Amino acid sequence: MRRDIIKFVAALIGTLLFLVILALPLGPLPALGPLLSPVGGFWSAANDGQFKSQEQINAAGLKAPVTVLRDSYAIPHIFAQNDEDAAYAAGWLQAKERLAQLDLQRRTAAGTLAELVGPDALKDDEFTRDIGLRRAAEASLAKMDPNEPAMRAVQAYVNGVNAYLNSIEPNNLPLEYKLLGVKQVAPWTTLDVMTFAKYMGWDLASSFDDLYMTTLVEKIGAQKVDELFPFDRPYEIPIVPSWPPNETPLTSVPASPQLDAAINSIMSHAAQAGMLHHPGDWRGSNNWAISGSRSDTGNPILASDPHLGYQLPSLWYAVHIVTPDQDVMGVALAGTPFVVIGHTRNIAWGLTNTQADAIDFFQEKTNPENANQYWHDNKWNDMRVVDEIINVRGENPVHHPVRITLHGPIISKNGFDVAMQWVGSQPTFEVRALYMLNHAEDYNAFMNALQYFQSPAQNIIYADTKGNIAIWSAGLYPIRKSGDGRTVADGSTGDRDWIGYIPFKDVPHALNPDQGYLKSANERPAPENYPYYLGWQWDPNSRATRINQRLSQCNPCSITDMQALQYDSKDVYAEALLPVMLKAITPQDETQKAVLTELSNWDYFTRVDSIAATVWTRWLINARRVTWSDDWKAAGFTFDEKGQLKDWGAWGFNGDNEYQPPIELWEYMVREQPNSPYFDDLSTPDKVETRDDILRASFAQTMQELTKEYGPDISKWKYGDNHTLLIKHLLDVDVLNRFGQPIPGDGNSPNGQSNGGPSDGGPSWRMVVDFSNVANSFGVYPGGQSGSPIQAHYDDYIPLWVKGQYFPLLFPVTPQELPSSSIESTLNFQPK
Amino acid sequence: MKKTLPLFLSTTLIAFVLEYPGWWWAMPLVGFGAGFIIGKGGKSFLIGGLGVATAWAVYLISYAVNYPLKELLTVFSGILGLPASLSFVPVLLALIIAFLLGGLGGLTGALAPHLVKRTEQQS
Repeated sequence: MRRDIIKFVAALIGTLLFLVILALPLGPLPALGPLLSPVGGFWSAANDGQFKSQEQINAAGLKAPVTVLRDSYAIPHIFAQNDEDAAYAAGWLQAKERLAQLDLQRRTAAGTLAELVGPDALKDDEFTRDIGLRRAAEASLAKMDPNEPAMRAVQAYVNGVNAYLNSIEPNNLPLEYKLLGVKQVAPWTTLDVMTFAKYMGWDLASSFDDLYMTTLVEKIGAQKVDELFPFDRPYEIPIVPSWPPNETPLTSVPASPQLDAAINSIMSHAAQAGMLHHPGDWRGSNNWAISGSRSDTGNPILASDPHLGYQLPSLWYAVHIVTPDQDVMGVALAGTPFVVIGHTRNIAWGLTNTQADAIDFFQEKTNPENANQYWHDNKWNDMRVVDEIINVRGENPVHHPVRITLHGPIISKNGFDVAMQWVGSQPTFEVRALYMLNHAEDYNAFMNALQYFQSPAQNIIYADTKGNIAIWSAGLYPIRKSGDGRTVADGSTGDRDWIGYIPFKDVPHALNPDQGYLKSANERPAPENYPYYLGWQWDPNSRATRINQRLSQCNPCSITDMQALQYDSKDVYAEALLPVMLKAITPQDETQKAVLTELSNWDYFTRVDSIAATVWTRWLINARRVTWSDDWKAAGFTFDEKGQLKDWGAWGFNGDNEYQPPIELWEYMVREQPNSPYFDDLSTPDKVETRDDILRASFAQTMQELTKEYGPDISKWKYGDNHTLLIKHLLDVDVLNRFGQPIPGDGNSPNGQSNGGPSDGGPSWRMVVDFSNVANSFGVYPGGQSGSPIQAHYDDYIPLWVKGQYFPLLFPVTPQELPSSSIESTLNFQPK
Repeated sequence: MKKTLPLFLSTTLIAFVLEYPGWWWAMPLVGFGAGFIIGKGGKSFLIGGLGVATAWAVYLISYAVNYPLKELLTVFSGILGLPASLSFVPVLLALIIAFLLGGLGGLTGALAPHLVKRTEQQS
């Protein structure tokens, strides 16, 4: 009897033990039982993003039938009888193709990632809650009328997402959820859409440069900072050709160990949350428009290529929406219903980031007797304290109190209060602006829409069928009571408080200039004499210079010329600097001789087969570092093993300047000031170095590094051998990432990419609109419409994008106009 | 043999039905039932295991017929760190797990009648 019991109990325990093992997560992998189960396991992901050739969807909440034709590039053409039904279908389609992306993005924006992935994301969530993107979205939502057309469209989009969510079984969620072991997706809300819009605003406007500048002022003095980081850089070509000088002296709060510690705490928290810009980051963009007087068709052509970090699934989702009130084609941000960059029947628009100073930091004076009070306006004021509750998967919720002054949330963590004020924290109306843009058919409607385009400030290029071209640096630009926003301000005095915004009519803009073209590439928006302070963190002027060069030379320009310019890999800094730099170098061996021959014969295009491009991109980085690193070390900064300033990331929005003064200043020194004291190496007090010493030292270093990395045979130093595409999936798993394709371009060419090595950011959407026939327009982005890695449309645009090719942006007026050979699938939405 | 085939088919069918809502953890119960009826350890293990594994295999075959399962397996294997040439491993692993779930349940089920009989004899 006992033996039987033992046997039975042993078998029972064995079975239960096996069940327990299968039910527990294994390291980073979810539990094997649910993961490998045929129903509910990863297998059902084989159905992700799959469309039948004909599909009928019974949709609750729809007012009238909607027809969606997906073309051979998987771009949906939505034909609806009203705007709301179109938005509903857009929501349904995005959810079907990109559900996991949408969910991850809304959680990143709202600071609710830890609820999905556990404690690893808690620091990210805490920082996001400090900034308060969701609070900002709530503020915007409260100011918008739920019955206004834009909000009705947002609500319909949300209904579409939820209709899709309700149509799938928890067991059939996309692969990402299987890997995370999640079986439930919370319903969508309008707040999710608004919060994601705020996140994009933050992503394009966030900068901790005030903290860096404050530290620099402390270490090297305001005068020197003004000299090295000037408002007016040499060789600039502003976006708007002319306007009246307005400079204010650089002032900062007095240095103190507490402020240093506060700054360090912010930087370290931001670094942990992945919010710092780094050398090599890409957030530049290009756009331009030429008038009919310069085009081969006699009609304007508009081109736009926003540069962002690459990701899979792409941030963009291409869509064409046709209703009685709108006919718009272009790309929407996945997670929102509106086309952000695109064209209607009669107008087109594209965006670049203005990189304006939209964020200020204030050192607050806190009441020693009450930490929740701060001094302002000659009295103690109560802070607003928000108890942010962060749900953490597998753990108890975390209470994260955020203290908020009139300037904004306190984001320092050392007990010394530094508040952050950001334009986007207040109610803003981008959703309304985009809705209006999607319906605009002339210049007046375009301008009316832009008045609501407030955060992030963007240089918005425009062209229309009437032959107009224009550009508006639309957005809210704070006016300070005194001074500018380059450093941390004393919050207690109110001297640097924001007292308003630049009136819309006064933001930099231009319409139909004599030159016959307009362009922007994140350079200074307005000339020196513009009366308001906009900022100072402009990108290196190289892309703007090259685009200006080409547009001024090209007459008449064709669509093909515009496409070629988006793919143009010429580095104008190489063109300006290399002839001077090469004069300083005498070859020391045969390899150096061969390299110098390559550089001398180079046409400055960073093509994939160019050896010179490999040497140049590295030499430029090294030469600038050798010039400045001794000055920064002497000032007390420390460097990491990669030659980067420790704990600081990079200033500006584009990482190419690293910690250094703007490249234009260095260019000026190399070309005009060979004996500048900044070329002197402060670590060698017995010797005074000049430009040529720095160039020789950096060239020798470059040769040494490249020989070590690629070997002594310079035929193996071809740019494309190492300068390759890198697009990471949101989960950063190799099999989901796409990488390895050689690509031309560097940080200084219109086809903006990294300077050597893997390129993980650049032209995230290329669009060229032809106003001789808007249906003859083109676009491409590095990715594909589907979020499912097993679908062909996951990455089918990448081969085109890599080669600088495009797909046609088909623009049928009716469903019947789309040739059947171009239709991959048809969805008929029927009201339920 | 007369009893074996119907039992195998019943086990497969019940496993198929219980898996339909995604109740992978219920598979040992299916094996248990088969084992309880068969009463012999080795055979119960085999019938329980094969029955559940067959039910799971039917699901996997239906995916393979209707969807791009090969592509999914390549992706999933990659996530597990396996090369594309070993993309069959998840299938194998799933079937082994199914077999063990059903088999262990069957074994436990086969031992239960002994216990019941002894208890009856003693009373």
